[in-house]
Order: sequence, then C-alpha cells, then structure tokens
Amino acid sequence: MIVWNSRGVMLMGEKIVIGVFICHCGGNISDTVDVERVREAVSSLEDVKVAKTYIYLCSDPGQEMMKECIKEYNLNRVVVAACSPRMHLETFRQTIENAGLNRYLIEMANIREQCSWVHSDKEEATLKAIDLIRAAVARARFLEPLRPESIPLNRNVLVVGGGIAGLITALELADKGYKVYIVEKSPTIGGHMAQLSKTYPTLDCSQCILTPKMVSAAQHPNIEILTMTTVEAIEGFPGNYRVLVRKRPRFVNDNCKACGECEKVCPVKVPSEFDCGLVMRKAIYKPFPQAIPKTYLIDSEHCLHFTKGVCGLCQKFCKGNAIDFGQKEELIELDVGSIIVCTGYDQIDPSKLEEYSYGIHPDIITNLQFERLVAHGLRKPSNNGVPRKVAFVLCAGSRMRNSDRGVEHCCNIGCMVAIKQAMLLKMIVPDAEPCIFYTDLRAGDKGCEEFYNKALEQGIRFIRGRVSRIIPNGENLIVHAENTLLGTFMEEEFDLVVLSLGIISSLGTEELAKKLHLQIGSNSFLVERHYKLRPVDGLREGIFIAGCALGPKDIRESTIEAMAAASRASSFLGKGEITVPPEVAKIIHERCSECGICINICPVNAIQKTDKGMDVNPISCIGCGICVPRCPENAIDLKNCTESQLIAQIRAICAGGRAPRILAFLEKEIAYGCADLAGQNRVSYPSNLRIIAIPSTGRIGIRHILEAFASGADGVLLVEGHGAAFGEDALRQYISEVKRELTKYNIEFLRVMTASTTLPEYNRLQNIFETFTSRIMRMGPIPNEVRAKIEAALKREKLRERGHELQR
Amino acid sequence: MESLSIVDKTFVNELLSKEDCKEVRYCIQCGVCTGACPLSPFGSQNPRRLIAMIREGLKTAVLEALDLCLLCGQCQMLCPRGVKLKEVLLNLRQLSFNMGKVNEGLSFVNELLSEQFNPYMQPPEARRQWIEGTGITIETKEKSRIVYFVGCTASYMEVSQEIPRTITKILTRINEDWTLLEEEWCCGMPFLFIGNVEKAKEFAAHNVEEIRKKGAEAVITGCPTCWHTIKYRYPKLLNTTLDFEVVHITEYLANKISQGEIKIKNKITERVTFHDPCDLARYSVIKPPREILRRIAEDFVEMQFHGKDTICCGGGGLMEAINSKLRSNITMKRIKLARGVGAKILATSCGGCKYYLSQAAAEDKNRLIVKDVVELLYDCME
Repeated sequence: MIVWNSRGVMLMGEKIVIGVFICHCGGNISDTVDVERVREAVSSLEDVKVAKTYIYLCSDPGQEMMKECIKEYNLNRVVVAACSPRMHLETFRQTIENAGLNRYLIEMANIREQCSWVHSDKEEATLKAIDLIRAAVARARFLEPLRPESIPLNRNVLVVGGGIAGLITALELADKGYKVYIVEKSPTIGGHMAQLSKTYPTLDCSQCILTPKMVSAAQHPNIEILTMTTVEAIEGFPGNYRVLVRKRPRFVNDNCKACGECEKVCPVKVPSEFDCGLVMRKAIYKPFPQAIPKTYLIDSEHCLHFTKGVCGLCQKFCKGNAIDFGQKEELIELDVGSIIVCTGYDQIDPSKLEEYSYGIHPDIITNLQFERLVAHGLRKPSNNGVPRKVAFVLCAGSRMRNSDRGVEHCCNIGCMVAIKQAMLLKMIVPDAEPCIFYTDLRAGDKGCEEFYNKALEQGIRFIRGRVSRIIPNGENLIVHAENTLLGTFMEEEFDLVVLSLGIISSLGTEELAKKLHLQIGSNSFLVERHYKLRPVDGLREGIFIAGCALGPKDIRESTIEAMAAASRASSFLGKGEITVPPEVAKIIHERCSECGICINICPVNAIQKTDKGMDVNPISCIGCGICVPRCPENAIDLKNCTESQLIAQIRAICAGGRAPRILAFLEKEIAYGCADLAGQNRVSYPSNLRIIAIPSTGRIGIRHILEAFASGADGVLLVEGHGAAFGEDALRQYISEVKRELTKYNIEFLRVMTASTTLPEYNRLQNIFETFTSRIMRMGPIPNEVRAKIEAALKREKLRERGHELQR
Repeated sequence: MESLSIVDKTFVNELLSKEDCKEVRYCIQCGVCTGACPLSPFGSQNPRRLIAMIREGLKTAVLEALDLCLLCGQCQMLCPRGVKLKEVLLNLRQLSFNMGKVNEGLSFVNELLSEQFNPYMQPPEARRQWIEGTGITIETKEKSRIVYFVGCTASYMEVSQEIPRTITKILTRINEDWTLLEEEWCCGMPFLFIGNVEKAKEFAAHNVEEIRKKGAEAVITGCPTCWHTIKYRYPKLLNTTLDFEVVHITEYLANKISQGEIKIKNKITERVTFHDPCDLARYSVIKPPREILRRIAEDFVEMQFHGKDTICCGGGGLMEAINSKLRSNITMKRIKLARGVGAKILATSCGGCKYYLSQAAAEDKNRLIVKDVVELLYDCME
C-alpha cells in the first residue's frame, strides 16, 4: 500500500525500485552514445536497482528481458532510454503491464531523436544521454499508478464531402451497418468526378461509373445525405462528437418532381458552376441532370424574387406546389463517434499566372473546363468553331518555388489528364493536332505508362518545355516556349490552349481543420498521422481523411483511401467503447478556495463548480495543465505531470551538462514531434539544449522557470505547437508577466524565449534552438549568487506553503 | 564543342555558394527562361542551357556564353523555381572579368568609364552640357533637401537631354529645395554588367559621399537604372544602409499630383501607350507612371508586355556595345507592338529607352512620337 500526500509526495509505502533499460537501437544510438558508460553512470542513481542495455529493446526478446528484470528485481518503476516516446511509449507501457505493473509507471528518455541523431560528438552525446536519463529517473521516482476510464462510444459516422471519396467511404461503412451522415456543401453529391468526361487510363465514362454510386448512397437505408450543408461547430471528444451543421435553404421542397417547367420560365441567366462558367444556367436550376438530390433549387443571390422582390414565375408555373420562398436555414445537431474528412480539392486561380493571359482570351481554358467543353460537343468558347490546333500546358502553377502565384507540389494528375484530353480531342476532331507541353512526364501509376505509349502511337505531339507565355492574337493564341530537347525557341499559333492547373485543398479546408483540430501542411493539404503507416488517420483520434483533402490524386487512389478510411473508422468504432486517458487535472479540495479562476481559464470548459466544490470533467479535460500554475492556492495538479514530477525532472536535467545550459519546454505533440522530425532528418543543434515534454506551455509557471534557473539553467525556451491549447497570444502575454517577475531576481528577460511551431517546420525549430543558444552563449552563465537568491526565495515559498497546510 | 568536355566542379560549388546563385540547384530545365527571353526569337541566347552547363561544371563553355544578355530580368521574373538568372549572370561576368576574359565592346566601355566617369566618350566636364543654351539656371547649394541625380544618358545623349531639362523646370516651378551634385559619376551599374565589381564599389562610394555632403533627405533620379542601382545595389556593394531615400521621378511626381501640388491644365487627346523600363517594372514601380499618364492622357492604352512583364527596349545590359544589330532588331519589335495598339505617342520613363525607341521610331518612318512621362506631364501642367 502506497500513500501519497496531496502534492504527490509518497508518505509511506514500499520502497521505490527503479530499473533502467538502455537501447542500442541497432547502432542508431550506440554508434554515437557510449551506452556501456551510460549504464555505469546511471546504475548509481538514487533508487536505481538495475541498469541494462540491449540491442533492440522494442524487439520481442528485448521486451522479454525487461519483463524478467521487473520480476527478478521486483521493480516498481521503469525507465527506458531509447527512441522518442512518440514512437514506442505505447509498446513499453504494454510490456510493463504484461509484467504486472501499472502502465503509467514508466518514463522514457529520448536518447535517439534528441541525442544520438542530432549530435555527432560522442563525448557530448554520451554526457547528454546520462543527463536525460537522470532526469527521467528523477521523474520516475514520483510516478503514480493511473487507470484509464472506458466510455461507450457512438456508432454513427459523419462524412464531410460527397465526392467520390466521401461516397465510397460512406457506402463501405453503411454496408457494414454503421449509420452514416454525408454533409456536402454544394447542392448535389458527386463532386468533381461528375464534371469529368472520360477517365484515364481506361477511358471509361466518368458519370457512367459515378452515378450508380450516387444512387446507391441516396437509397441506402443507413445513409442520410445533407446537401448545401456545412460544418458549423464541433464539440465532444473521440467516440462522442456532437457536430452542429448549417443547412442552407433550397427554396424548393420535396414535392419537386424535377419536371423542369420552372427552369423554362425563369428569366435569370447565370454562369453555371458545374460547367465552370462555360454555359449559362437559370436562377432556379439543377446542377446537372443526374444530380442527387434531384430536387431543383433557387439561387437566392440572383433570383429576382430575392434580389428585387419581383417575378415569382417559377411559383406560378410549378404544378407540384414545390416552390417555398419562405424556407429557412436550419441548424442541425449530429451525434457521431467518428468523422471522415473527404473535402477534396480546388484548382489554383489561373489569373495569377499573368503570362498565360487567362481571362483575357476566352479560348484559354483550364483542364477542368476542357472536360465540360467535351460534354458540350467540344467547340471553342470564343466563336463555337472546331478547335484543331490545341496546346496542353502542363504544370501551370505547379512545381513553383517561393512563389505566391503557384504551389510547390506536383498536381499528380496533369500529365495523364492532358494525354487523355489529347486523345479525346483526336476522337472528336479526327484531324486535330494536340500538342502537349510538358516538363517531366509522370506516368508511374498502374496502366499509365501504357497509356502514354498509346498516345505516342497515335502520333500526339509532345514538346518538352514549359510554356513561357500565351499571347492572344486576334482569334488565335501564340504560345512561346523552348523546345528544350532541341534547344530551340518556339513561337506557334493555336486555336485553343488548355492549362493543367495546380491543385490545392478545397476552399474551407483550413476552417474545417481548425474546428476538427487537424493540421494543415504548407502545401494546403491536411496532415495524416503517419505518412506511411497511418496514411488516412487524422492527427486527432477518431477522425480520418481520404481523397484529395490529403493531397492531389486520381479517382482510383481516392477510392483506395476512402476504403482504407472506412476500414479504419470501423476498427475504431467496432470496439464499442473508448478509453479516456487519465492524464487530467485534479482539484486538491482542501486547498481550493473556489475562486473560479480555473473555470474561466480552461480552454475546453472542463471545470465546473458543483455543490461538492470544483469538479474536473475527465472526458472534456484535454490535460493541458494551463489551470495548474494559474491557481492562486496551488490547489490543482495534473496527473502524470504533477508538480513533484515536473520539478524533480527540471532539477535533475539542469544539474548536468556544461554551461550555458538551455532548458527547452516543448509541447508534447506538435512541438516535441517537430523536434523528433529534426532528429529523423539528422538536423543537428547544440547539445547543451535539453528538452522536457509538457502537455502545453501553459503548464509552465514562474515557479518552474525559477526552479530551472536556481538549479543550473542559463536560458529557458518554451515552444508551443501551432494551434495547440495554449494560444500564441496567451503564451506571449503570460511570458511577459513572467519576464517582469524575473527582473526582481536580476535575471535578464532575454534569458526566456517563447516560440511556436507547426509540425513540419523542423528547420525553423533548429534555427530557434541555435539562435537562442548563441544568445545565451553571449550572455554567459547566471552568477551563483543570483541562483542562491532564487533558491532562498523558493525555499521561503515552500515553507510558507507548509505553514498554510499546517494551519488548515 | 571542345569546351563541353572540360569539367570543373569547384567552379560549380563556388558559384552555388553565392547568396544569389543557390537557387540554380532547383532548376528543372523547363525552359521558361529561354521561352521568355527577348533574344530567343533571334536564336541568340539559351539561359536554360547556361544553367545546365553550370551544373555540369563546364566552366569554359559557360564563360564563352555570357555576352549575349540584355540583363532585363525577364527570365528571372518568370522562372517557376526562383532561379535568379540575372544575378547568376552578373556573378559569372565578375568571374570572367577577374580571369581577364571580357567581351571587346564591354572592355572598351570599362576603359571609358574608368577614365571619364561616363560610358559615352564624353569628357567629365561636359556633364552639364544639357543646361547650356537653354536659359535654365541652376542654383548650386551647399545643402538641400533633395538631390537630383541626372545620370549619364540624360546628361550626354542629345535625345534624352530634354528629360533633365524638364525635370529641373518642374522642380523649380513647384519650389522644391533641390540641387545637383558637384561631381556626379556614373552610378556604376555598367561596371557590374562588365563584372568589374571593385570599380562599381569605388563609384558607389564616391556618389554616396557626394550625396551625403549635400545632407539630402532624398535622391531623385530620372533614370531607372541609376534608381535601382543606388537603392538596391549600393547598400550591398558598400555593405551599409543609406541614410537618404532613393526615389524615381515618376514616384515623386505621382505623389505631388495626388497631393495637389501639381495641377493639370490640359490633356493629351492622342492615344498614348507606355513602355515600362525594365529596371522600374521588375522592381515594382509600375503604378506611378500610369497614375501620371491617366491624369494627363484621355486615351491611355496598355500594349502587350507591360507592367512587370515588360519587354526590354533592346538597350539593356550595354547591348549596343555588344551587338548593335541585335539591339536594333529588338527595339524595332517594341515599336511595332506600340503601333499595334494604335498609339500615336509612346511614353516611357527612362533616358536609355527613349534614346533607342525614338531612333527606331524614326527608322520605322511612322509618326510614333517617343517621349518621357515627365515631358508629357510638363506640357499639361498648370
């Protein structure tokens, strides 16, 4: 029986027995870190009973060895010095659990990503490894057993986006028996695929393979489709999300038989979105004949009834009494356990590529417009003439570096789309002369190289050269380029020019990502949990992503991802319950004065005042720990990142190494993951910088910074994850208060720095590490008398606290 | 093609380590540069191939291919990979110069400049000849708010001398506190074209010293090349920051018009179009000349290749000294584009552009009038 006091200090119980296990990681660690020396050094640390090294701790024999040690030495705390906890903490928690220990009685020291992979000097790396393990052991001495809670989860799924990816994923899940809601922002499901003519490399008709899927989704008893609907807000937690959606009115009710009489009489003409502006539609319309739902809708931005209060012809002519000008926007709540994001793509704005004159001449069109042109008989938009000489301009706005006019990534489909379109052109206009201007022809997917061969066989002209300029010249267009294979300049006239535009995530993805707490990469697409191994998992549990929301891809790949996402969602929901991590805030009631500061400070409203005092909801609490240092009575602690654990770790990590010592507190998901990426990419930084993972920078208060300075640190860096719980502004504001406090102890405020980072910006993070370290180098170490002054102040504070405790 | 077999990898590493050249490694050989180069229709230059040769370390071949370039920056502006081709070429010219390899025409200009502080075979004493016989009096001041930096072309070339005359008249009429430098030297950009960076530094240092003597808040230039050289290249050449502003005359005048200090009395009725000088447009001075023209011209039209995508008049990069025939072919192309939009007046805001364009307009025997924006403005001022 172990008894802990309210501050997490063990009052009585069995003796702490710690085992330290050090991994070679093949040579990933041991080539740089002298693991044997490390083992010797840490064997003598307080409460360490045994220290062992092993070639691969994560392997079966490695784990067996650990389990045997736990039994043999009666270990009750375990420290693993190996890779990042983001990599294998779960593995080792399982190991110790199998050996009969509580899974939270383990601490990892990251001596790979933060040591052997970022430092090349063996001596420095070895010393740092010892320091990191010392800190881990210090923290391990205060670890407490914790038990996760299990909560039943909701088996409904929300699919955002009704394009091909959304439809496939919805059908897969509905067939497995899950209830699926499809939320689609446009008036019909089908997405961009509905706009396409034929698809490469098989040349089957896009609508012929898509519309049956649309019909299946519409008729499926487990699928509910909400068109003209967007996600407004989301609350809850994985397994139990409540999503508020906003459904815009169609102004046509279910009586509509889609007879089309209304459309005939409507006097307003507007460029059709579905046809990319190439033809006109009416203000009351159906995007395309096979649209689902088949109900018409009124475009209230252009309808004369709404804009001028006149007309109403559709209402007069509708025999089914289906027109309802009074329809209102609806807000609907959906309770779901999982969310799949299939929000697809948009193309970049071609008018930014001024040299291509888009918008100046009607016969300069996008490749998506070409698809619609094919559907309408392939005529030149300018004069309805038959286009013969057609230039396909690849990489328009793609593969650009440092440019606000385009994007850096490859559009992935442009090459194949252009080849397909050139073939279609030759099918429709037999004497046509398509000419494809390419930079690098990419045909790696199944059947694509063969497709390219077919195009060569048909005599389609390929010019290797990116088009420099398109110049309208009367009816025709002059294209300037270099034929790079000949090294000659080309100036040639064409009837029609088709731009293979760069692809970005669809409009609104960023906003949705914020609501769902997902990350967006620099290329505008959503970030998956792991590029190779969890390619359709979002960064948040229970949220999955499929299709072009992750990156540009074709229909086949989107379908594969949609099926994968459905499978992942059903694995998640199939368990029927979700485990809530126990790492949440807890109120120390005997100290709490119920002032309510924590209620206002909590970013997720997890703290409430009840008749029994303050109460933390463990499901809502995200364990950020922002409330802890802000409690004036020190009446809150955070499980698994308690004050005792944190302070022990700070003191131990600052005790080693050489001056100047830099202590970096990194938010444990994004910022810490970013540092891991620096390691994975072998981007080195000064070895006197040591990292402590914290749930959010909000967890760190003035006390922790003073502890760091008192025990040897010369600089403290706080790095928050971009978009994480403790906002950048809040962090900056709080730290400016901290800096003011520091001046009382004669500590220059430049010794504390804050930053935030996104996951992929590891180069920037390295830069921050380096600039901060060189700043502290220049400032030199903190004088001992200053440290002593802080130490004395901290002691006084502790005495004062104990006094209060005794009074109570 | 013997030179294509001589490989020197240290040359590549040396070049790529330069601040402005590191992007060379990102080139994907797409050919946008060559397709956009004004010299390409004449089969003269292939920037893409130059980059390919650099990356292969073909030093000898590279140094043989440096002459034909207008240094207009069009390739650099359109490059999707951010390769600064103009800066790469200037670096290569420097390398070539240091090895003693200089084009004959450029070498001659180098000597002229070093001896006479201008590239036009004119004595330095004649720098103020544009004032002679015009009745303009210029007050020489010890100190003044503004220094007007005239530039060599406007000082010496007869066709362009109307520009400084007009500018001084306007400055005097609106009671600006201004003066000329005691001893103005060439801005030094031609030295950078040649690759003689040391001389460019010397000239930069001299001019900055002269400007500081006047205690000026700002330097106004009528010449886009002087403007961009002083504003953007001097700080780098001298490794310093300038304690005065550098303003092109069109920026200055557009501002004065919008503040109502210059009022417009009458308007031009003929169709006007505008030729953007490379050194203004590529450094984003696009609106000011248009703001002036829209105020004074009833019928202002844009021609093809305008704004930041402007095409060189032919005179860029001392092309006249390198290949005069090629230069005039390009100039004629520009005249034809202006005629293509039915313009009667071709406005520009650069002494060099005006010089070549008016020459070509005369050869073309059409009645296209080439004038600087300041001249047009002066005629319309109250």
